Amino acid sequence: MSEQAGTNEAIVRVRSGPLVGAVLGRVVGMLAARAQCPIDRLDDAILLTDAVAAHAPVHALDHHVHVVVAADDEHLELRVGELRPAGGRRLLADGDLPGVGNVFDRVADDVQAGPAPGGDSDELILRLNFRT
Amino acid sequence: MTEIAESPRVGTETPDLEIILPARAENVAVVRHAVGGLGEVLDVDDQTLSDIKLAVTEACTNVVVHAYPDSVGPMGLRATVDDRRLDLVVIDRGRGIVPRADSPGLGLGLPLIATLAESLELGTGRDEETEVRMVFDLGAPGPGEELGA
Repeated sequence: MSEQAGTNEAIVRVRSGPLVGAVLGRVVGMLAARAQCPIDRLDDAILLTDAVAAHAPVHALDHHVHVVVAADDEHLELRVGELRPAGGRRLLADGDLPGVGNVFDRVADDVQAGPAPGGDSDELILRLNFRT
Repeated sequence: MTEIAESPRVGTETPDLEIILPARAENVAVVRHAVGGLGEVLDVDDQTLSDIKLAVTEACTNVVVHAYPDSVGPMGLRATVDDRRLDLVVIDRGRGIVPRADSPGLGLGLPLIATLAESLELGTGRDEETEVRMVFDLGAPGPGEELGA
């Protein structure tokens, strides 16, 4: 857990199912609002959260979706972890929308998918900048 | 009937929901809001959900005020649902639940939780965390309520 001044971080682990979207959306919304996230970026954060909630459960290792949400004055980061091998890239690919492109790539300022530190699982990292 | 017990606890199965945040005042509202999401999915009636949120708020506020006098440590919530029984555990890694002569509060938090919950237990988890364990009866489910995938 981060102790850095100005950074707030929540570790959320939710059983796959309807609880994921309901809880994760609230946690992300609260942390983003507390971090003075602009309203347009708050909308983007919730859009990303909804996409994670919709697609992450099928790639999760143990029927639980694990997300670390970190927010400071300039960024919001969602680290979706404990995914199956290649789950990060597969989750990213699930964000493809016909005629629109990839929702993760279109909305987030930085997207990284790959093995998590330690190599036991995969992760998808989504980063939103509050100011462009 | 509310029962209060103090006993060591052994860790249980993977909870349906677990949240860990820094024990800061602003994060009490985050936990409360997350519990609201849980209540929405479980179709809990307004009065019961209000009781649950108040009890969780009291337990988390105790963590913020009492657990870490000189620093900020982790504050956690674990929730497990089993057959319309909601088991909530508020966790910290602070100095434990001990009497404080200089307590800034009125000392009403735990009695209030005991009144709101079906049962209340204070104890220590498998990793030496301080646990406030509450159980709530969620009543009859609404039509179509389903927690798992």
